[in-house]
Parts: sequence; structure tokens; C-alpha cells
Amino acid sequence: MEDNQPEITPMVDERSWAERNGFPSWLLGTVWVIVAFVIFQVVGTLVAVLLLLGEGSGFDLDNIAELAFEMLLGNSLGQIIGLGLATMVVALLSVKARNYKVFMRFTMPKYNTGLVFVFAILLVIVAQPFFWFLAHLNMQLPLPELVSGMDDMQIELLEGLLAAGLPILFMLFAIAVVPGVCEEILFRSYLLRLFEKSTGVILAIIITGIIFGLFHLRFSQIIPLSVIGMLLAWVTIQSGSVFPAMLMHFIHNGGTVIAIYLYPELITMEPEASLPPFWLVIGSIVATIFLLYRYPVATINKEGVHYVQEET
Amino acid sequence: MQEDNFQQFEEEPPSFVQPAMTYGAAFAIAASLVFYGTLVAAMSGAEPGILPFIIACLGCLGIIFLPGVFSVKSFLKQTANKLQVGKGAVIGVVSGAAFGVMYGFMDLVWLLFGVETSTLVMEYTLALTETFGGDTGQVDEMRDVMEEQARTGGSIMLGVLFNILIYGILNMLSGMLAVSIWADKTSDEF
Repeated sequence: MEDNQPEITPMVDERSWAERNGFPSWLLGTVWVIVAFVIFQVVGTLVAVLLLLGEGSGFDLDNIAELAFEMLLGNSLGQIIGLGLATMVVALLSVKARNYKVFMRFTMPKYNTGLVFVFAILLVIVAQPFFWFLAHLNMQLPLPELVSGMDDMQIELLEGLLAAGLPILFMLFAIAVVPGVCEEILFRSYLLRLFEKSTGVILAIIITGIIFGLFHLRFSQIIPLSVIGMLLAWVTIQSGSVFPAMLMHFIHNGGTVIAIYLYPELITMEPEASLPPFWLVIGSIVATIFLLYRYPVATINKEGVHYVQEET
Repeated sequence: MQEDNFQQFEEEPPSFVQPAMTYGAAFAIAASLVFYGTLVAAMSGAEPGILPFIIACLGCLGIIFLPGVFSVKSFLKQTANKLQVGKGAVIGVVSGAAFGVMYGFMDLVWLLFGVETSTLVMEYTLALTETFGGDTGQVDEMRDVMEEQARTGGSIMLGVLFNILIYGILNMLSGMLAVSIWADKTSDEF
């Protein structure tokens, strides 16, 4: 008699903590990006201040070059802790642990792996003149005085940091590697996934791109930054992996660092002088569209929304 | 039985938007009146003391968390005390955003009465500093900056966006707290 009794499988709630408690994904994403930004700024400022106090240096904000090392180190630690590590922990609220890697797209592209990365590298390179053009267009837009004042301060700060003459490897680490990894974890691993669940793929790409642009607090560059964010999001979804976007982000930022290192006069170049030739912009747009159209298929699931692995 | 099913099918789920926005707007008006009203009353006297500022801050601080709480409490009546924490967070965000927008709008209302809220706090701080014999140079500089910002429309828009962000998050937390306190623990429906 007992052998004929059906095996009773205990009921297990497969939903994440956020789903069990009714938190919409868009709310989690929006609140987390604000909290992550605050953590990043607090940690970064605290580390920079402690380093400067430890060295007995002053806080002469008129001479950014002398504070560059401490500021960049603080910025890097802020990004690693606030954007990278904290996001990886918080993401556990939105997904069961066994689906974590797939949810965060911490997996290599399943098909055409090499080709995916080659296309990613080509994309970020050929799109550069188009981004420069967008930056030039953005700078023509009128901004409120308060906003343009904030922007000028940001630009001055960046110019000071880039002109500080720090070792190139450190600059690449602080400006290319750390943001390339940590910002991608926040925006393309976690935020993109959350908005996909709430709004679908297309809107998720647009919204996370705009949030990426706003996050940098550079309103004179918000259009190119948002477009870059959308491009990185699109590549992430097409690849089923966040690693191509990390590589693209590294190349984009690292390219700027290397260019400034080789040609320091670029820092003080007038905006009008940085406008690329018309033919280069058109060529860039055409090449970018072509690469997007021909991007190799690499995902497990064509919709890109169902994150649980179909093969175990 | 069929009629009960049909009736259940016909009933629309309760909406939280109206109570959230109503409470958000109402408490914003109250907070603005308490904070700026106290400062205006203090400035009309001979020498403004620190006490009115403390009262204004405490009063406002007590009010800014209430929209989320009251909105959730009101919605719980419609759902027979069944509500998830996440839903309470959404209700709180909506009521906080309504609070932020109305609080910004109240600045325009005060302007109709000749009160520039953007400079009122600075004027009060300056008056306090003069009363206690402090250095007014830095405060004067800050007032010049704020007056310059007040002349540009961008600062009003930024102020409203900032309000929506801050009060949205604060009331998200108070909404979640309200659900934790008053909603049934086993709820899984709304």
C-alpha cells in the first residue's frame, strides 16, 4: 500500500524575494541606480579626503592636478564598491541564486563567441565619429545657466585629471577598466534586465540608455552618452552576455585616455575644432548600421527576456 | 454561483492613484504652510530667534513622511488589509511624487503673496547671523548665488525634479513601513 503512494514534492516558491513581495522591477531599478550613485559618491569622496588628510596635503581645488591621484583612486573605489559589488549583492533580491549568472548575463555568448567580440570592437571604433558629431550637436543646445555652470565645473575637473601626468597604466585602470566593468554591471547586467521585465526589450534599451546618460551628470554630453548607453544595451541583449559591452566600454574610455596621453593638446581644443569631417560622420553612421544589421546571433533565447537557462 | 462569478469578473481592481495623489498634494500644502509660514512670521518680528526655524523644520519633517503612510492606510481599506510591501512602495512613490510637485507649486503660490521662498531661508539665516554677531560675508555671497539661480527658470524645474526624487523615495519607505505595520502578513494578492 505504502509503495503505491505518490511521492509528494514539497511546494517551493520559485520566485525571487522581490517578486514574492510585489516589488515592480522598474521601481527596484530606479531606486537602486539612485542609491548606487549616492554610495559611489560618498565612498569616493571619503576615500579621497582620507588619502589627502593622511598625506597632509591641502584641498586646493584650483589645482586639480595635485589632487588627481587621490581623486581618481577614490572614484575607482567608489565605483567598485557602490556600482559593482553592491549591485551584485542587491541583484540577489531579484533572482534566485541558481539563475544568477544567466540573469546578470555573466556568461559568454553561446554561439559565434569570437565573432561577437570582433563585431563589438569594430562597432565601438567605427561609431566614434558619430559620437563626436552627437557631442558637437549637444553642445549647440542651450542649457539653463545653473546646468551649464555645473557642466563647466565637470569639464574643468576632467581636464585637470587628464592633464595631471599620472602613469598611463593607472589612468587606464581608473578611467577605462573600472568604469568598463562596474558601470556595465550596474546598467547592462542589472538595470537592463529589470527594465526588460517591466517594459520589454526596446523600451529597456532606450530607458537604460537615457539613465546612463543622466548618470554622468554632463548635460552637454547627455545625447552621445545616452546613445552609447543604448548601443551597449543592444549589444548586451544580442550577445546574451555583458562581456562584449564591458570590452566596448573599456575601448571607448581607454581610447580617450591614450589619445590625450599621446596628444595632450586635445584637452584644450575648441569644441568647433573637434567636429569630424562630414564624410567621416556619414561613413561612421553607415558602417555602424551595417555592423548592427549583421551582428552575429549569439543568444540562447532569441527574445532575450527569458533568463532561465533552457539547457541544464 | 454564476452571478457571483460574473460579478467578480465585472469588479475592477481598486486604484491607489487618487488617494495617493490627494494625500500627497494635501500634505505638501500643509508642509509648505508650516515651514514657510513659520519663517515669514519669524521674519516679521524684531529679531528672529532660532526656535521658529527648529519648529519649522520639525513640523515639516514630521509631515513629509505622512503621504505614504496615509495613502497606504486608505488603500488598505479597499483591499481588506491585504497588500504586499512592494505595492506599498509604489503607492508611497506616487504620493511622494505628488507631494514633490505640489510643494514646488506652492512656491509659486507664495510668490503671489510677495514671498520668495528660494531666498526666504537665506534671508532668515542672514538675519540670525546678524543677530548673533556672526560673519555675514559668506552668507551674502550665497544669497547672491541663490538670487542668480532664482532668476533662471531652470532652477525651478530642477527643484521640482529634485523634490519628486527625494520625496518619492522618502514616501516609498514610509509606504513600505505602513504595509509592514497594518497589512495582513500573509497577503499575496495585491
